Amino acid sequence: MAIGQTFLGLLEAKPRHGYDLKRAYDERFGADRPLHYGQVYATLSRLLKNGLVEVDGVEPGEGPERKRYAITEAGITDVAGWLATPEKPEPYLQNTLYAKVVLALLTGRSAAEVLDTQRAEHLRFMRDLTHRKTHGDLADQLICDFALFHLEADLRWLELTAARLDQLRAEVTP
Amino acid sequence: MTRGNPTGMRRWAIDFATGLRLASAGGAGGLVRTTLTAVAVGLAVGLLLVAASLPHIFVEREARAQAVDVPFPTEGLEAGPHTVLVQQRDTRFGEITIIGHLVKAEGDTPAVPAGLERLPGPGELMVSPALAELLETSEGSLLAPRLDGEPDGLISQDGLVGPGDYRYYLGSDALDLENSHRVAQFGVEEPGEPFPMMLVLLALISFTVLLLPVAMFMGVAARFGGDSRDRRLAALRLLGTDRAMTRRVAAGEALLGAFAGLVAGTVFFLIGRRFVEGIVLWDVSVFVSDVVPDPVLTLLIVVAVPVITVGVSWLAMRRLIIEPLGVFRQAAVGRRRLWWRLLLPVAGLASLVLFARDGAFTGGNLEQVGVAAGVMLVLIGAATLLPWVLDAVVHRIEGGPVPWQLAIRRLQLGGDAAARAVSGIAVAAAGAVALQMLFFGVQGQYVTDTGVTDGHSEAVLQSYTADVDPDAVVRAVDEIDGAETSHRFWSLVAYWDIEGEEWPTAFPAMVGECADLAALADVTGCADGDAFFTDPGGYPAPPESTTLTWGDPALSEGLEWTVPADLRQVEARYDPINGQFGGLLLTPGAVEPEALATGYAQLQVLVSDDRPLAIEHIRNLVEPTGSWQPVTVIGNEVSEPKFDGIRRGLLIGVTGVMTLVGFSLLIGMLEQLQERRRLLSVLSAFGTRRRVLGWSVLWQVALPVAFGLVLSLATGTVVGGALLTMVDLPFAVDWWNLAMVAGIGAGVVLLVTVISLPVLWRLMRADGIRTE
Amino acid sequence: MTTPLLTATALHKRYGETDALAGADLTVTAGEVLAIMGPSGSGKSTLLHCIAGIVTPDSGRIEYDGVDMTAMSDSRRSALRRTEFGFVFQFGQLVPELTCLENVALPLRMNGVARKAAEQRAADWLAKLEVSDVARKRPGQVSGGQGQRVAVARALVAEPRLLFADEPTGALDSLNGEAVMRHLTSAAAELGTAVVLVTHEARVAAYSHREIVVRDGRTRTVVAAAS
Ligand SMILES: Nc1ncnc2c1ncn2[C@@H]1O[C@H](COP(=O)(O)OP(=O)(O)OP(=O)(O)O)[C@@H](O)[C@H]1O
Ligand SMILES: [Mg+2]
Repeated sequence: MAIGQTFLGLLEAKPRHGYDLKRAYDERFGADRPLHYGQVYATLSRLLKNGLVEVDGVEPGEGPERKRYAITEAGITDVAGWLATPEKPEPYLQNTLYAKVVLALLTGRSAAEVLDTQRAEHLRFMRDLTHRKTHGDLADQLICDFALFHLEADLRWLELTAARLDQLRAEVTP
Repeated sequence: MTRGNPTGMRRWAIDFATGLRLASAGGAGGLVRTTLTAVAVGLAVGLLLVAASLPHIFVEREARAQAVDVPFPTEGLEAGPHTVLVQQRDTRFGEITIIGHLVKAEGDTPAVPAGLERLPGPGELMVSPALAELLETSEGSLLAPRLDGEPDGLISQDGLVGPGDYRYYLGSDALDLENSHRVAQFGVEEPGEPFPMMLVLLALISFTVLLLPVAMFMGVAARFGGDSRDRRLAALRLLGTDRAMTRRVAAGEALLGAFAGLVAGTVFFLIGRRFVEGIVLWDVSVFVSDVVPDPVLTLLIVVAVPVITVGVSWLAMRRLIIEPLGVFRQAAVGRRRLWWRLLLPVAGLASLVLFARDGAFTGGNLEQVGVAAGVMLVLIGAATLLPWVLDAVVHRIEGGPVPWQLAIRRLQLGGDAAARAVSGIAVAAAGAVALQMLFFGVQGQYVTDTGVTDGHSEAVLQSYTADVDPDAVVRAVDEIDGAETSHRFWSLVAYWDIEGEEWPTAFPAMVGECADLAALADVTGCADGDAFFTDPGGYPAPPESTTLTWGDPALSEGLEWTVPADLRQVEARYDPINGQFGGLLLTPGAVEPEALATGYAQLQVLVSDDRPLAIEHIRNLVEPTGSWQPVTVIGNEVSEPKFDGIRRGLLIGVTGVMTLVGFSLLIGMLEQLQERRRLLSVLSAFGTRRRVLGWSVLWQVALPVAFGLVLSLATGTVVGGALLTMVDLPFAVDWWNLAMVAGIGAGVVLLVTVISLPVLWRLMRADGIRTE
Repeated sequence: MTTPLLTATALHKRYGETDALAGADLTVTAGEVLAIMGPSGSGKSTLLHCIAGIVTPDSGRIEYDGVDMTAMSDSRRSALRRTEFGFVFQFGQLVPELTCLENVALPLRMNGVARKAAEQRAADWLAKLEVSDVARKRPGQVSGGQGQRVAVARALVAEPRLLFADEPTGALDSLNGEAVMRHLTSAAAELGTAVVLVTHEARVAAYSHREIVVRDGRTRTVVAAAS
C-alpha cells in the first residue's frame, strides 16, 4: 500500500493538515488498520524532502499538527505516473487498487482508465501463465491454475468496480 | 379426509381446475395454443354439426317436395268448387330446369298450391325468388316470353324445395281437359322416388370417408403445443404432483381446448349456416331454416368431443415420463409392431369379400352395415399402417443431398406427428379413390357418347299434335344465329290388327325426305315414294299387302295404308335422338297427306356450342305456343346428373379434408420452426443458403404426404375394386381421378411449404441467436 | 506478419432506443486470437455479428481482405460466411437430428463436397478434438463439453480464415471450458485461422493474444504497459 502516493492524491484534491490527512486516509482506505501518527509524519517529511509537497501555512499554536500541507507540481506528476502504472498483478491488491480508483475520482482523473490499465496488465500476466500452462507439465499446470484463478477473481473485481464507478464517484466526492 | 390433502372427487376437481388454469394462463404462447386447438376442434365440430343436420334437412326437403308435387290425373274426378285444371309447362334455361304449371280454377274456392295465398288468376304469374332473380338478369330476359310477362308475386318458402328452386305458376284461361288435367288439391301423400340402393351405399361410404379424417384431425389438434404442455407438467411435478394427478391436470387442459372448440364449432356452424343458401350443388339447395342439428346427434357430439380430446391427450402421454426435472421420452420400444396394424385392413377386406362374393348387394341392413364396417376398417387400417410404413421406409433411406438428409433425419426422430397428421390424408384419399372408382364404373353405364356432332348440341322440337306448321318453324329456327335444322320428320304409328289377337301390333313410322331418313337408316338409292323397314331387334316387317291403320284404331276413323310390294328392309343407323330406330321409314310420296294428321312433327336442330343462347331463342319460338313440348337438348354426351354432383361433392370434400390435414401440417411445421429459431439463426450465420432449408421443409412435408398418398391410392384401388365386384361391374382404374387426388395432395404440400417459407426466412435472421 | 485481415471502423448499430454499438473500431490480424471483453449488454455480440456479416451496421465500414463488407449483397456475405468464416456459439448450434459426424460434415457438404469425402474429413477433425467416440451419437446424447468440441470441429472443418466464437465456453465448467479453448486455439493456430473470441471470462480471454474491451457500445483499446 503506497501511503505516500495516497497522501499526494488526497492533497491534490485540497491542501490539508496532518491530522486531517490521517482522518481522510483512515476513513477511506484504512478501515481495519488506522495509521499511526508516527507513520503519517514520517511519510510527510519524506514527501517534503523529495519536494513533492510543501508547507502551505502554519497556524498559531504548537506542534507539528499545526502545519498545512499542499501538493507541488512534482507531486502531481508523481501521482499521475503512479495511477497510470498498473500494479504488478499479485494477490491482495485490492487496497492499493481501491485507493487508486478513489484518488483518481477525487483528483478528477479517469478512474475507468486506471481500471482498464490494470485489467490489461492482469490479462497480460494471465496470458503468460496460460502460455506456460499449455506448454508445461502437470505441476506447471496446477501452479499456473492457482495463480490464474486468483487473478481471475481480481479481474472480476475490476469489472465490478468499473461497472459501479458512477456510484462510487457520488459517494467519495462531496 | 386428512387435512390439506383432499381426496376423491375433490382431488379430481382440483386437478382438473389446475389444468384449466394452466391452459388459460400460459401467457401469449398458451393463448395461441388454446386458440389453435379451439379452431381445429371447432372446425371438426362444425363439420359434425353439419352432418348432424342432414337428417332434418332431408326430412324437411322431402316434406316440401311432396307438398309441391302435383298429383297424377285421377280417373273420374268431376269438376267442383275446389278443382283446378293444371298443365305442366316445364322448360329449361341453359342448365337450369324450371318447373312451371299453368293453372285455371274451375270453381270459386280452388285448391291453392303450397307457398301461394291464392290461385293465380288468368295472366297472373307467381315465381320463386330464384326465378325472379334470374328474370332480372339481362340473359334472363330471354326467358320472359315463355312466362308470359312480368312476375306478379313470389312463391314463399313453403312452396319451394330449396332456395335455389326455379318454379312458377301461371294463371291461364286457355286450359281445358284436352291440354291439361284436373286436380282436387296440390301436394301428394306418397313419398317421392326413394334413393336407389346404390346411392345409399355411396352415401354411406362418403360419410365414412369424410368423417374419419375429421375425427383424426381432432386428435391431431388435441396435441398442438404438446411439448410446452409437457414442460409445464414437469414443473408441476417439481411441486409435488404425482403421475395420476399429472394426467388429470393434462385432462383439465385438454378439456379447455375441447370446450373452447365446442363453442368455436357452434360459432363456425352458425356462421357457415347463414351462407348455405348460396350453395347450389347439382340443382339442390338448402334453406337456412332446414339446417337444424338433430338433438340426439348433437348431444352425442357434445359428449364425444371432450372425451376424445382427453383420450387423445392421455394417449399422447403414454410414452412420456414426466419427471420433476423434465420430460423424457421412453426409449423407443423396439420397432413399431406390424401385426395389429395389419389386422384392421385384413378384417375389413374379409368383410368386404364376404359381401362382394356373389356380386349382389341388395341393400339389406346387414349388408349395409357389413360394407360400411368393411370400408371403415380398411380405411382406418390404412391410417394405422401409415406410421409403420413411414417409419420403415425412412429408416432405410441413407444419404442424399443436404436438404434431403435434414428432412429424413427429422422424420426419423419425429415422424410420429407428421404421420398422424397425414393419416387423415390416407383415409380421405383412399376413400375418395375407392368411391371415384365406383362412380367411374357406375357412370360408365350412364355416360354415353351421344353421337351428336362435336362442338354442337342437338335440340329436339316435338309438337303435341299434327296441328302445327313445321315449315314456318323451320324457317324461323334457321334464322336464329347458330341454329340450323338438320332433320325433320312426321312421327306416326301404324297398327296391324291381327285376327284372334287381343292387341294390335304397333309399327312406329317416320315420314321424311330421303336425306332425313338417311339419318335413321341406310337408305341408299332412295327416291320419293319409296318405303323402308328397319328393325334392329330383328322383328319381321309386316307382310306385303297387309293393311295397317294410322293412329289408334279405337280412336281414329281408320286411315289405312297398305304395305307395298317394294318395302325394302334396311339397316338402322344410330341417331342421337331416336337411337336405333325400329319401324317404317317412309318418303312423303309413300303416304297419303291426310295420314300425317294422326302424328306429330319432330324437328332436329343442330345448335353450335358457341351460341348457347340460340337454344333459348328456339324455346321462345315454340314453347309459348303450347303446341310444342318443352325443347330437350342433347349435348355431346349424356351423363347421369346425380353422380356428377356426388363426384363433385366428393372432390370438394376431399379437398376440404386435405386442407384440414394441410392445416395441421402447417401448424406442426410452424411450431417446429419456432422451437428451432435459434438453430435456424445459427445455420444462417454459417452461411447456409435459404434454398437448402427451404427444400428441407418441402421434403419434410412432401415425404409423409407422398407415402400417405401412395398407400392410400393403393388401398383405395383395392377397396374400389371390391366395391365394383360387389355391384357386378368390371374392374377399371380411373387414372384421371387418381391424378386428381394426387394433385390435390401435391397442392397441399406446396401450400404448406409456401406459407412456411416466409416464417422460415424471418427466423433465419441473426436475431434468433440472441434468444435464450 | 501484421497485415490486417479485417478492419472495422466507427460502427454504429441501433436497436430501437438502445445504441448497441456507438462507434466501435477493431482490427483483426491474420492468425491472431483476439478477445472481445466487456460487461453484459455492452455490445460484444452485436459487434461480433456485425464484423461476421450476420448483421449490417447502421453506419461504419467493415473491410475484409480489402473489400467493404457492408456493401456486399446478402448472398455474397452468406457465401463468405460459408467459405471463409467459421462460427462457434454458446449452445444449441448443432442440428439435433443429425449425428455429430454429420453435423461436422455439414459445412463441407454445403460447399459441395461429396458425402463420403466430407464425412472422412469430419471424422479426422473429431479425432483431432478427441471426440471420435461421439461420431455416431446425436447432439442430444453427448455432454455439453463434447458438444462444444463437435461445434469447434464443425467451425474449423472447412478451414476458415477467420473463426468467430461467442461465449464458446459459456455453458461449460472450467475444466471443459479450458479443454475446448485449448483445442480451439491450437487447431486454429495449426490452420493459421484468426479467432475473434467474445467472452467475459478472463481465463478464457487469456488464451488470446490481444483483447479489446467494449463499454456502452464503444471499444477501448488498452495497451498494457508492457515491461
Ligand atoms: N436484436 C436486438 N433487438 C433489440 N435490442 C438488441 C438486439 N440485439 C442487441 N440488442 C441490445 O443491444 C445491446 C447490446 O447487446 P449485445 O447482445 O451485443 O450485448 P453483449 O455485450 O453481447 O451482452 P452479453 O454479454 O450479455 O451477451 C443490449 O442492450 C441489447 O439489449
Ligand atoms: Mg452476447
